[in-house]
Amino acid sequence: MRVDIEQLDFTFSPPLQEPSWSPQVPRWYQLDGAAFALAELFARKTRNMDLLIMASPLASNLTDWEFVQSGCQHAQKFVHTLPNVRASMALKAAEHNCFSLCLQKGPETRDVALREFFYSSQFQSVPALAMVDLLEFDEGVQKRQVYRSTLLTASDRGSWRLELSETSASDFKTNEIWARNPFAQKQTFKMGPWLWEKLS
Amino acid sequence: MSYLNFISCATCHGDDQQSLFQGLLQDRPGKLSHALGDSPYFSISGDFSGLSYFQRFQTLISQQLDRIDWNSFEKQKKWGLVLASTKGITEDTVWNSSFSTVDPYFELLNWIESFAPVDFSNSVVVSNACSSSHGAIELAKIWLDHQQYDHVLVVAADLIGPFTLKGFQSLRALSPTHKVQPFDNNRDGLLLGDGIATAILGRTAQNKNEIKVESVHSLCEGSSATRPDTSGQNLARCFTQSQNDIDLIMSHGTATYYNDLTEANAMELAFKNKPMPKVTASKWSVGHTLGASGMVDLAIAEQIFKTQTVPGVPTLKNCQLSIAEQILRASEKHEIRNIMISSLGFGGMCSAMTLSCEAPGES
Repeated sequence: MRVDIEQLDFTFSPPLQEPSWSPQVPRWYQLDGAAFALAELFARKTRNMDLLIMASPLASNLTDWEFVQSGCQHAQKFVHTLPNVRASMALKAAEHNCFSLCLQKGPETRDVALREFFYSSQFQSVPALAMVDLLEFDEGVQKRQVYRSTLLTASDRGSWRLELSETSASDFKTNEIWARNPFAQKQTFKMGPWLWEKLS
Repeated sequence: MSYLNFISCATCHGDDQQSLFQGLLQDRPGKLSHALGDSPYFSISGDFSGLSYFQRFQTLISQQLDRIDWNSFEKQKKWGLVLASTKGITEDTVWNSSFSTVDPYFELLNWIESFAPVDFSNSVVVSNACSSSHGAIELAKIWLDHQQYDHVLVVAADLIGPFTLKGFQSLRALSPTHKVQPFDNNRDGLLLGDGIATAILGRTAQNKNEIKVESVHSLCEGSSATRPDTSGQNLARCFTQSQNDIDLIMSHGTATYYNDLTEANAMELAFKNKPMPKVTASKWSVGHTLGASGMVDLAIAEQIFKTQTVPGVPTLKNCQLSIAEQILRASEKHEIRNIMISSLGFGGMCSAMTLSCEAPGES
């Protein structure tokens, strides 16, 4: 099976520049940081996928809190307090639709999502896993937030093979990356300390 | 194969689906609470004073889990656990002065895992907005159909708190008249409701009258964050993937203008060349229980199969939608073998769950 991995670090700091995908998401200026970061990655190229697993280890905590801090007045903020909405906006930016499953499990969110991603590759044609991490957060006037969005897309069933495509993460190439089928007898999966530490 | 080995739910009508079903058959809305201000919501009864929201979830979920006759299940089999929820669990942390770095669902999932008297090989939370129940059952069905697990415990839980209520106020989605009138010309919005439901799905039926979960089909249409594609084409795609002849659609029926229009259009598209099923709805009586709503409707479906009686939508007076003739206004006896439960959720979620029962009417 071939797994394409794409990753993008994105700084969300209003006022925002109009993105290239604004025709697909006319209300792009209403997106929260996580949705914006994911849409930036998804809009980069056309992909086929029939299942999108969405994993957000911090859920939508920051947007929940921002909604409260703003006096619970802004509907556009409240909408993004549902972590599945970011997947929807990313799919919209990519002009695609498919089954989407938003999975949560605290610090184990990555592991469980990755497991479902590989598991679903047995019966879905093209499963994908999207993950968004908040790397930096500045409460100051700038409201600067740095996100890392990652997308894994699986295709071509058969032996396991990882292929790296677009990435802007500087540490991506320096880490050891390997994979074995996590459903084989000796299950090991490790993709470098920058991404997932351990999945067994 | 996936069968519904057990289901139970607590709503504003009481702590089981029988009390809920009686309320529906008697055209009776549940108890409205004004505890959170001007906007009432359908609340589960109980003395929750002094309890955190986490403790309320614990209390209500434990009551539902205690209803399960665990001895009728082989505990040494392989079990999975899925929790379906949206925002209720965030109420304890979201009002803090800084944002929480802890996933609010995680602690509740861990607690359920420790409370239930079986060992779970895997557990996860599905948070697919108001279609979370459908997503959870779809995931459970995938696990069971591919023989990854023998049983899956699905818990769907959402309680209404100030955060959720203020959020829906900001959206102007709540009914100002406090009347939930799905599909009515004068529908003016929804009311929220507490809902806790538990189900055990298994690879085999334990009784011949058990419900078979035939299919769950979902789609994230990437339309708008809050508003579904009102043409109904994407929800219709979920409807038409079912291979069964449907006798009844339990609609999402929130009583918001766009939801009901979308569902009506989807039904018209999906059943263009075959008999249109009867249609009913439950949110006029229990409110919108958000992530739990699909499981609450599943509990109602269980009662419909058992009694072969379909509750109506008594708040419906005038309807100009294309499906008007199919919507039941009052309870009626019907032969029901196949039910479809429809769902729409924020983030463009469309979903349809199809159920069948080989021996309906037998208990």
